[in-house]
Amino acid sequence: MFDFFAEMLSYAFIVRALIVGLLVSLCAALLGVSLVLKRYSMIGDGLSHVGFGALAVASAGNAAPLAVSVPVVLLAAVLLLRISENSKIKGDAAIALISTGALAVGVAVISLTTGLNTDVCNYLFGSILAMSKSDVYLSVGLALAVLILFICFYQKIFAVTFDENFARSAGVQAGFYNMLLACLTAVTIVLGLRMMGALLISSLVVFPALTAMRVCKKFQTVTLSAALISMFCFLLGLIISYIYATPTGASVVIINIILFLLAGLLAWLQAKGWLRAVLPLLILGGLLSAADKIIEIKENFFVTQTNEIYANAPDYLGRTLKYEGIFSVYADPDSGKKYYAVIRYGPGCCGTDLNAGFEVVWDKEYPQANDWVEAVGALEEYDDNGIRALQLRLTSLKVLPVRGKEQVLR
Amino acid sequence: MLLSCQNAAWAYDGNVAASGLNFSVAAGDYLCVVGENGSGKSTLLRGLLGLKTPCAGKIVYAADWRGTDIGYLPQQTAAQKDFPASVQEVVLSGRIGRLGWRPFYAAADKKAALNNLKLLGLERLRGRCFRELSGGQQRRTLLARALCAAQKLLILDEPLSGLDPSAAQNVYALLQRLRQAGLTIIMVSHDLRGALRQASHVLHLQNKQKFFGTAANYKKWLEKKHV
Repeated sequence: MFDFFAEMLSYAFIVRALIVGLLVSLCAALLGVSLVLKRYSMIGDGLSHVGFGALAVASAGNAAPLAVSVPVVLLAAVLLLRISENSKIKGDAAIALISTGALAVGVAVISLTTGLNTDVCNYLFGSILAMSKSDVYLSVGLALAVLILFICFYQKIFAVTFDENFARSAGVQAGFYNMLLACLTAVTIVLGLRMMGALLISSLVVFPALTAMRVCKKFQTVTLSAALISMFCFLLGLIISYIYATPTGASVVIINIILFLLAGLLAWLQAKGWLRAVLPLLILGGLLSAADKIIEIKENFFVTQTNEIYANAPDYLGRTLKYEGIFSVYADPDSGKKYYAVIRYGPGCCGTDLNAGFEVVWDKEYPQANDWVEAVGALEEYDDNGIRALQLRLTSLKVLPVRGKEQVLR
Repeated sequence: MLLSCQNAAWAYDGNVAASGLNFSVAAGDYLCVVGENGSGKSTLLRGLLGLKTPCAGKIVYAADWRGTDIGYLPQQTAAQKDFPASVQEVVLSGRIGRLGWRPFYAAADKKAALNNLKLLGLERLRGRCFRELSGGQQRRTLLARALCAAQKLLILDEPLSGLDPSAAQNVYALLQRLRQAGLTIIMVSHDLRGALRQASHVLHLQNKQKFFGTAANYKKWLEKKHV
């Protein structure tokens, strides 16, 4: 497990994606709660399309992508809010106008310059390779700014979200906070745009908030859990994208969907009064699945673990054991019967008098004596001329090229 | 005098909702605004709150007037129906006007919120989710929030809607106590009889000002109209 993460984090681009992604997920989730409750969710979608257009223009002009798209998307956010508040074009229609317009401009610019290629695909669906080192610095700075502003104005954002008229009557500049919300959203969207993709980034705004709202009942807990859910989903999505080479954005969104459905199930169980049964059921399920699992005897406590199995044999009968050791053959001088075993040399005074391991039976051809093997088999008891003995009925016996520790002390 | 309307009028998209308003409210008054649906009552309240600027005339406030001294009980908005917030959080947000540049509420704010929760009998509900309360309980929560904000003036838009008779009586008794404690109250209500028992002044609206005067005079005006 640790090795896996160490390997994953040895790629600089993944570390960059991780830092920026976690920060963007955090900001997006915090803002998302207010946006969803204010019925502004589609603003995120609209702004991401504007961001796509800006990125396209920036790359056509060889300009720094973030430096161009941040101000453009901020401008679009201000414009969107103004239009939906003041004019006769309603909010959703305004968003549709601006987002499709920006998308069209972006596509036109790209096809005029580089042509529609994989770059465009990356803009639309995201790429883990997107962040350069300078992007990371800028992103961390902006994301921290978003975070600090959100925390400072948390109470006002709550008041304005819950009841704008009341907040105004109490002297809160609701217009300013709406604008702040839109601008912070714009910055967050742009930062996550190239990693998550223009078509998918707005899911970071919407999903965690909706998931949290299904299970939590206080604004504060909704906000905190949305933030945690969002970061968790991103982390898991990134790992999955690393293992299966799926696009990061899509993986994160799929994890978000799964969590959203689970939250729905949880809320449903709660409504039906079954929630209290969930934890015991999970524990029971965990135990049952553990009961089925293969017991692996590791090098570190080889003697201890084999001793434990001999001492409590009834608990282990029928369970599958898996371990590595030396394949050895022993013929009884009196009866002439051959015994096969997979063992390691244990602690003892006279060489091999305390070998740790099990006798094995195998219905296929045995390997050479002294071969290093991996044995997997079920533990069973048999009667050996009046002595009750343990043996492993093997399901697999593999000869391994690399030998482990032959002498084990504990 | 706390505030006075001088020939004020408000309009939506050019359609005049309320016009020709001439009245004044003194500190300690209890003004009840009555009229049919769509007669401009809520518009007037929004105007007094400064949420909507008059298209004609003006409102003159007292010299020591601060906009943050008003406690406002609005009508329910649709967005609140599925809003995840605890009763405590909603009531505490009544102190928003006094937050200034501080990021979080102080102990004094929390104490004020708790007092108002007690006043409206919501203590036991304070950890509950606002959207899961009954209509009457939600109304009382929003009233507690308005009380958190009200220093001088309480503006109530139909405070009794959704309340059962006994809860309505409690609210009336509470308003009476608040007025004795020195609060000025302006209220829109459909409960004419209850309002007349308590109010010191009445404003009758029908897109124009039909009557403004003391409650006693309003009774006489009503009788004369019927004759």
